[in-house]
Amino acid sequence: MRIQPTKIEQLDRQHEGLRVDVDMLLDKGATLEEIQKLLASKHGEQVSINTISNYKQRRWLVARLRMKELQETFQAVKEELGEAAVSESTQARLFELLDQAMRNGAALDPEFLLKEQRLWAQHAVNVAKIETEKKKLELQIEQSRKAIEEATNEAKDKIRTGQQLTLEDINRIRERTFGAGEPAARPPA
Amino acid sequence: MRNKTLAEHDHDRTEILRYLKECQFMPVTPVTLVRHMDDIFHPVTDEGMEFHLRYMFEKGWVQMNVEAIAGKRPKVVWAKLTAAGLDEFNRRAPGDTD
Repeated sequence: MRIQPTKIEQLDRQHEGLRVDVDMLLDKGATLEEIQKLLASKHGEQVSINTISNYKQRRWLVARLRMKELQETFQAVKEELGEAAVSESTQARLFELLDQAMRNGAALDPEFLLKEQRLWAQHAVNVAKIETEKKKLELQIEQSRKAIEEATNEAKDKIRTGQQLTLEDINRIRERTFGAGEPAARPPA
Repeated sequence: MRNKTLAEHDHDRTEILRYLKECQFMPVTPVTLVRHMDDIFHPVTDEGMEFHLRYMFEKGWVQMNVEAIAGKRPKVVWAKLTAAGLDEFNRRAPGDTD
């Protein structure tokens, strides 16, 4: 549906900054007469009160209500996810999705949105879990590596000093390398 | 699309500051800002919005998060208003109406 520009928006094309001045004055709670006065003095335009009122109802108020609804829904979704779990990037993206949904005329069903965002948040949690597991495994590998090194160094020292490696030494090395398992069998006599 | 004047670019930045103020210091993506500028009949391209945000970041008016992409220029992921940005917006507001 094509949106017809209001008179204020048409004037904005001729006078740079006219519309944003009107918006900022409306934000501040200025009266329509005050806005009319400013438009005359700053932009040299005689604009009727009806024109300003029309803009206020069709654009300014609609935009304010829309933003209010968007923010309320956004807060509801954020609270459901738990604020600590939602990064700023995710928040910004979530806001964008909600904004798009409203533009598409979708009723902002928090349940549906929550489901999608839960999946997102769960994905983020899963990624974090995998990273933690990865770090744990890396630590275990490092610890195993050190244990193996220690055991083989002990064995090397023994050999260097002319000592015999006992079955217990071999089992200790096996245990540190492969974990506790079947001990090495005694060689046949 | 014709090139905008410097004044028009400046008014666009005022509008961006205004929208970020309405979002109450919340992070907002460049896409959301571009859509808003379309709504108010002041279209800004994606590149133009990126430029505005970087300019405003340099001025200290916004805080930004930038994502590095291999082989490409880092992209703005989100931007939010700073206290300095709010002061700048208030400075730009029309004077007392009495």
